[in-house]
Amino acid sequence: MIRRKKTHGHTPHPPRSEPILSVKDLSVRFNTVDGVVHAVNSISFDLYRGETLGVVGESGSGKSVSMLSLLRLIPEPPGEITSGSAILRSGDESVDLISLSWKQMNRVRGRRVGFVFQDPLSSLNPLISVGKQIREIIERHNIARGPAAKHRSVDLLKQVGISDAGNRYHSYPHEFSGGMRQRVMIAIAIACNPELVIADEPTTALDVTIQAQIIDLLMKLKREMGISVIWISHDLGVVAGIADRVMVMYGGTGVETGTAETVYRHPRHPYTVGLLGAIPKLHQDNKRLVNIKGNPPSVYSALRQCPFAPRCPWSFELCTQQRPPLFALDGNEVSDSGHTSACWYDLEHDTRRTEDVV
Amino acid sequence: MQRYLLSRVIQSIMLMFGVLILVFFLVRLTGDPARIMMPRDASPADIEAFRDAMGFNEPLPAQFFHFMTGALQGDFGRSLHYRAPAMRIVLERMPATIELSLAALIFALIVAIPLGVIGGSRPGTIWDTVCRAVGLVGQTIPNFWLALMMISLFSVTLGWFPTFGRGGFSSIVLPAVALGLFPLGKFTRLVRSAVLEVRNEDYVRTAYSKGLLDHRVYTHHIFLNVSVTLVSIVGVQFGYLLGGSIYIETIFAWPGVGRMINEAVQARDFPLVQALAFVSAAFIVLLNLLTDLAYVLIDPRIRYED
Repeated sequence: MIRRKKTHGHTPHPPRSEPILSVKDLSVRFNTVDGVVHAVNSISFDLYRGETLGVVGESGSGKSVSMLSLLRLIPEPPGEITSGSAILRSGDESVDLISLSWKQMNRVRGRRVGFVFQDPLSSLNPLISVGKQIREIIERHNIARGPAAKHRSVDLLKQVGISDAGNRYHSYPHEFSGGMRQRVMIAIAIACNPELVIADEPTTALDVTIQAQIIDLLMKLKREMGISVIWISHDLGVVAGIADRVMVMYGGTGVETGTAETVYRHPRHPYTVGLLGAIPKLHQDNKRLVNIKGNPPSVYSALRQCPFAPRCPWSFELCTQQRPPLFALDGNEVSDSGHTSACWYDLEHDTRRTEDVV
Repeated sequence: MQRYLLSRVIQSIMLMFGVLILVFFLVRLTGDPARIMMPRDASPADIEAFRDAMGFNEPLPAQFFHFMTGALQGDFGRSLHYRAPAMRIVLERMPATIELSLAALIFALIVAIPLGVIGGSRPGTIWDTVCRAVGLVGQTIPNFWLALMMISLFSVTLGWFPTFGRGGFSSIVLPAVALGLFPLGKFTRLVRSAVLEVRNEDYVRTAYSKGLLDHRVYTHHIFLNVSVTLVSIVGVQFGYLLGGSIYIETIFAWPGVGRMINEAVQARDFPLVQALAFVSAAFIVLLNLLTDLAYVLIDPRIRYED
């Protein structure tokens, strides 16, 4: 399924400007009646200006929760951000999203960070016309008011490729197809010229041909408007086609990060290796699909070891004693900076790391 | 949309025909209608004369024909007690009942909507506890008991409101509160649970992701969707208020239909009972029709379902 390596024009070596978003040690938990769910376990990553960061991982790996919690879009309670910072930079100005008040956060949401959600049918209000749902965000952030706001909403509908936009402004979500609804969601996300768009599995609920259209649309807008994108997906193929860099998540934390090229061709974390090995390939006549033995770690206990250790063929004592930090892996074949892996085992040199290297 | 409404109107008319048939047979199912309607100590000769006067000696199909042709013209016969056309008496009493029911409904909604929204939006807080308590108390306190207690306190002891009768705003307060208590409890619980449910919907998260302020998310996104549920229950409850008004109108001597139902049944005034049953049924059917209309206005998804 890793195939879409084509027109999206991602630069193999993205310019290393200052990150527009730096997340450090973000932890999120949910205090439920069944116990504390440790959904995100001190995740750290950077997002650079104009790049697309693909966030991949299986269900329950904390992809959505970690990104939603950046803008406090998880239900609180039961959700709770227990630690961390997330610096959003714009020019000389920088704010820590985690420490913002609710009021300040409301000025960042929609204005500086747009969201595209997974299921466009349930994510649009069924009782409000699509035009009004776009106009609402424009008026909220004082981009335009009155007839000008309506005019801009119609323009946005055109921009996301909805024909007859003037009339479609008055339509309701149920009168649209799935792909058109997702176009409306995208119109809402870009309505206020945000610096960052977080797309939470935006194509999962769509059929394959529509998926490609939505991907192309988002990537086109991203280039035209200079938006940085965090693209959450469990589809490694989709991410391979669009992401400049990829972060692989497991057990509520990022286990490997690097350019798409590096992570897919030279995975250095055993989980990534297993994940890529599990993808069915057309040209190989395998009788069985390869799978990763075992189950993901329980979310009910705090993470004190490597989350992948119980399933990992390379694991040794240290893996179950201490959580591995992110190791920078520079000198590998494709010498790009920023390839990191949270693993005590050095797959490249086939040696065990020790605590001293930390 | 027109087709949908037209089909609903036709359904309602057919339903009213069914009600007429029921009303006709209900009186005759119990045996000899003349004997039931006449006083217990009436002589056989009197009963025979009454039977003849009411047309009960005619064949059943002929009676049915007469009843239906009369009913379609609004003629349900003459009330035995009031010695006047039954339908006219009922229609004279209707405004008082509608006034009381509406007052009760408005009271219930004015209290229940804010309380339910506050409770539903802050689950587990003291507000939520108040909200749930009101929901429980409202639905469990018998309204006739509350009516008597309120008369005792507010009318007899404090002298704030009249003890009975209809005239001016102060006379409607106690009966409206007593009658509105049950729907108040019901609406509070309903709004609370609907808010709890709707606030977890994906489109509410979308609304927040746009940076909308809380009050806008609540008024434009959450309450709009809660109102769909609320409208359906309000229609049904308004119908129940008519039934509930039998006790309340009797206690407060409110000159409405509810009290008349009580009187008519006691007096075995069957033409009046028939007219009352028909009008009450027609009122509820009309309410259902209005509820469906309100649905169509709120929820665009229903408009094109033809």
